[in-house]
Amino acid sequence: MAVTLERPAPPKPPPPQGGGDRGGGGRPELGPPLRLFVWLAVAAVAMFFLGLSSALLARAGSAGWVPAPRPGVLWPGTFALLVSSALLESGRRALARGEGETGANRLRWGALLGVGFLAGQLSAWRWLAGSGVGLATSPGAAYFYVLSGAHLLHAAGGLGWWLVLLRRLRRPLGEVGAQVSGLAVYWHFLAALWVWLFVLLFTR
Amino acid sequence: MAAAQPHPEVHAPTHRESFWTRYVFSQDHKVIGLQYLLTSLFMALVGGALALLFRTQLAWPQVGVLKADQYLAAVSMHGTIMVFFVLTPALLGGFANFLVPLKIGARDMAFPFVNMLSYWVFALSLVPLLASFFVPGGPLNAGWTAYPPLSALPQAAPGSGLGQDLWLVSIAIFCVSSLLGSLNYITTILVMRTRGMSLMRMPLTVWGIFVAAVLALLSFPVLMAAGILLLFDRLAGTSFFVPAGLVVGGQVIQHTGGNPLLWQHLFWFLGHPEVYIVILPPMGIVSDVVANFARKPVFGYPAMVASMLAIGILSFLVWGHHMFVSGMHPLLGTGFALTTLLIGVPSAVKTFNWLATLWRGRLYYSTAMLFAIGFVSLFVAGGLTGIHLGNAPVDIPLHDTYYVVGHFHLVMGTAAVFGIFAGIYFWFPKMFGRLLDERLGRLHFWLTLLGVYGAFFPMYYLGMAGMHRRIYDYRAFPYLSHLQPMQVFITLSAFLIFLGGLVLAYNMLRSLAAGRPAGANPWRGTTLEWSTESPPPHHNWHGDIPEVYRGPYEYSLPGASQDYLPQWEPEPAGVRAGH
Repeated sequence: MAVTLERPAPPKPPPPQGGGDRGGGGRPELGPPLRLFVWLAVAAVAMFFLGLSSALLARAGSAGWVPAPRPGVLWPGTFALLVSSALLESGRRALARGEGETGANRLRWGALLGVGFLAGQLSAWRWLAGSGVGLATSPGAAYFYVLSGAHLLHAAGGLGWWLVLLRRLRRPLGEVGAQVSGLAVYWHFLAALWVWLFVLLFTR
Repeated sequence: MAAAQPHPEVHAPTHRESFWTRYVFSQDHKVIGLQYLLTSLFMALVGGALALLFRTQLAWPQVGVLKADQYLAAVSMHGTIMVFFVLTPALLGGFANFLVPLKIGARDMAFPFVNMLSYWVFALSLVPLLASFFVPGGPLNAGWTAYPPLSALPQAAPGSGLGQDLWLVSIAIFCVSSLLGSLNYITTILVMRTRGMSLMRMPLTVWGIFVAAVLALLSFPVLMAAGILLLFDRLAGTSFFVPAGLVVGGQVIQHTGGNPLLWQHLFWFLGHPEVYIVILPPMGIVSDVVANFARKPVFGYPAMVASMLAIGILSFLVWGHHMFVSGMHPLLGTGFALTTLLIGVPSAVKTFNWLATLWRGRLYYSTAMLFAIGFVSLFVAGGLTGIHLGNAPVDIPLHDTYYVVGHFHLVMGTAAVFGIFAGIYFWFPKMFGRLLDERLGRLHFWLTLLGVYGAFFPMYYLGMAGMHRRIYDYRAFPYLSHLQPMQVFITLSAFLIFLGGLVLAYNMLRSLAAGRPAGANPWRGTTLEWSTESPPPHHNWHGDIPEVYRGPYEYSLPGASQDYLPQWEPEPAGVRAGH
């Protein structure tokens, strides 16, 4: 077909494409807007930590790198975070099956373990500070405080959302279900992110 | 004209609003868009006034309008304000908010509360920025790129103290605002389109905003991470960016082991996509305007979309071309040069397609059209020198000279501003229900066009003559002293641009009060925003949201009774429109 600057003969128009049945909310195949919103937020948070991680990798590869001492409390804290993530997923699925009480219980236990993770992180900081390791003591310590602190703030935000959802569990499931799904995406990501940071901080 | 075909949906909700919820803490995307736009225009006055100050210093250094540190502060704040607080919020806040729901057929953004929050977080970010003018030492001195160690050591320069802290806090808050906005735009565009509005039927303005929002979502967090590390270096004594052995004021500093180049990598990972964040939406705006006033479909619509996506992807792979003089491995430099030249290909595709759209069109030179054509002209005049600067051997002698200043002011600074002006003249009637005065508009255009070329084109010569971009008083260098007449000419041209801006401000105020009523569709446009009244009601359409039947640029259809077929009208008998 010849390329022309003139208007080409138009092809036969197809029927209207896509679209949903709600008008101005019409992409049911993408799920509720909240889920997409959370996935996009996860992408942004991932880029934030990618920036910090690449800085750490560059620094750890150059002369004078001294890693931070590893507080022992990080192990049980990490375990608590992973189990809380598993309980959230299990609770979410139970809620989707209509097992409201089971789902709510798992969500409560999961949140409690999330609080345990936060307490563990703060305890690790106290242990480090008590050992005389401050922010400016060594490059490894600086990166540990900044990376774990940034992760802690994101986890605290997620936990705040989680606690709000626990209060809302008495509402109709459809209203809360989308939020639980969104929270699950965010919390699983934070759990995986912490494992990455843990490896990054203490295997350099 | 055939009636819009409604489809089953919930009708626009009716509700009462107080003054505060309607005009201040509004969740209506149109009000939020106007809040962004007007705040950006105010900041443009601040940034422009700073430019006039340091241009006056450069034209007549013997007068000494500014002291050296004030000069550096004015240059640094001008760059910061224009990039982060004028271009970005005007385009990815103002136009994105006002236009996206109207153009895709949505009642509002996906998350109106988050949308309101994004504006007020943006407004909050202005507080520390503007406060820095009034603190001891004044605003930052380190340039809008805030390179350490100048930006990391409070004792390095007068503006390296509290002013630098406030700059970092302001940028961090701005990043949060930008993320909230981007999350909303992407979600809204993907999830909230009306029936029939497939991705390949979206106006190019929406495509430009969409790709820019994705870039902002992925690049601003990296700047935020870098900013936090820099704040720790400044306030907590860490050494992320500060190397050992620096001597400041006769004292050896205590930091050890940091790397200032790390900041440059992190900064430019945001910094280069930022160029495209502010140029992709104007590319879309210009496409809409050119098609409308040439009464032709945009030439090669799929190629226009593909080139925007290609620009978006490549923009993440070129940041190293800002660092050719940092001592990077030549092989790495070659890689960055290659990707930089590659990004010229989709840019050239777009330029060709704009020209092809204009070709043999029935051109009407409205003010919006003049600014759109001006955009293309500036994009070429500035873009071609990007090919020079993208090559490391050429860039090295020209690095940090006025050649670079001329390049980026033409290709992304003033080109983006022309896109904004084209958008203001085109959509002002939709925003306020009244047309802007065209005579004043033309005066604004010619003042601005002459001013822009007068100010920035001679900078190529200045740069080749060796004029460094941050020299306070060039009389200290004999090989630069004879360039003073050119500096005076540039400064007078800058005043011309500012005068043009005042004409626009007057035109807006005058037209708001006594402009000609616009009606729903003054430009005989084809996209959905023209299907509703001007200004649109809360939730955009009385009754049902219109359905979309075709692409966004169906002008001059053979056999049609009028020279355009809107997206929302069913096909009349005897006329066959494209996709």
